[in-house]
Amino acid sequence: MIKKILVSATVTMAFANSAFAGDTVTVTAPGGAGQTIGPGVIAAAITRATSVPVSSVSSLTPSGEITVVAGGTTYVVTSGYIATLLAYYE
Amino acid sequence: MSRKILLVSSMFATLGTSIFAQSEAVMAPQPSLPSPSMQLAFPTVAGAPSAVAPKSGSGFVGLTYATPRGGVSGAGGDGDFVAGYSVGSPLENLSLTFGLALTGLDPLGDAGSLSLSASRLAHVGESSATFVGATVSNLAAWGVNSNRSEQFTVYASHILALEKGNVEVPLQFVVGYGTDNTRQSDGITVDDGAFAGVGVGVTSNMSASMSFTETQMNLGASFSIPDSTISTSLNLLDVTDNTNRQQVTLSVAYGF
Repeated sequence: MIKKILVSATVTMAFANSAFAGDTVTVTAPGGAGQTIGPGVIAAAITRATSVPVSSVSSLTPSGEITVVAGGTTYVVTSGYIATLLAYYE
Repeated sequence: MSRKILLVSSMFATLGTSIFAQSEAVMAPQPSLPSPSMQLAFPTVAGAPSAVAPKSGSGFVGLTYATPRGGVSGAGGDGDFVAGYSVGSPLENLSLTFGLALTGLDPLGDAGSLSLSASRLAHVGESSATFVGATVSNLAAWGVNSNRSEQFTVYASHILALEKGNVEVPLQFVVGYGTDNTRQSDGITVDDGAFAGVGVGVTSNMSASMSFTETQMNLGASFSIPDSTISTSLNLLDVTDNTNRQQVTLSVAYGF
């Protein structure tokens, strides 16, 4: 099943600080819980929280679509990298 | 509990002095962006302008040291100062970047010029985005820069994210055409011409690139300082010395 998500505005994600390997890192996207975001964005958030580069994120709909609303236009992409680049301009 | 915010925003910049190697004029500042995914660095392209615009309301200042000056053997080294500020969104309408370049640091300010760049998002694919841009540089030139006319450049940047496992490898392809950017093999004549380049994010803080004019090949690497908006780049221009203008440049920039 393809999961669509809405990464809105600035893609500002808040997450717990000072996490360590093995900890659960909670990534909260705008709009509340239950959303799925791309593996690239998840990996980036974990990297940011733990300062440990994350090279692999599993079970995260790698073929899923990401809907980005930026500049008043809706874009549907599969790349977390491109989604975040577009959201950068909000 | 303290919270960290991941902001995909603050722009840092590399310098554009090296664009079109060995031009007497300091070219338009070349902006670059932090890696959107924070996984691999945003891929800048040495020696070619990028149409991926900085965020509106962001600016930068920077210094470049180039040796030998102008690529002329025995000319010694010298530096340039650049600054820029961007307004507008390339997604909604147009991004404009206003640039100032001071040619040479000793004496500082005796030569320089202004520049204006515009860019716009042209297309978005599933894992790519294409921007188009144009720059007019060497505007209102003074000092040695006034010996040359304004320079015009049009270009496109294609950002492609290749998925390798669960890591996305970002690539930037640049193609364009400009005035006074192609130095002939006599080392003196400068004509209009096409250029192209490609950059790739190598690590979370480093990207590598190569670019070509019709007569020169350039190589470069850029590095960002973690948890800062400071970036550096090291470029080797006219790698093959085809136009007798081989030059090494080192740039440091701070974005705000």
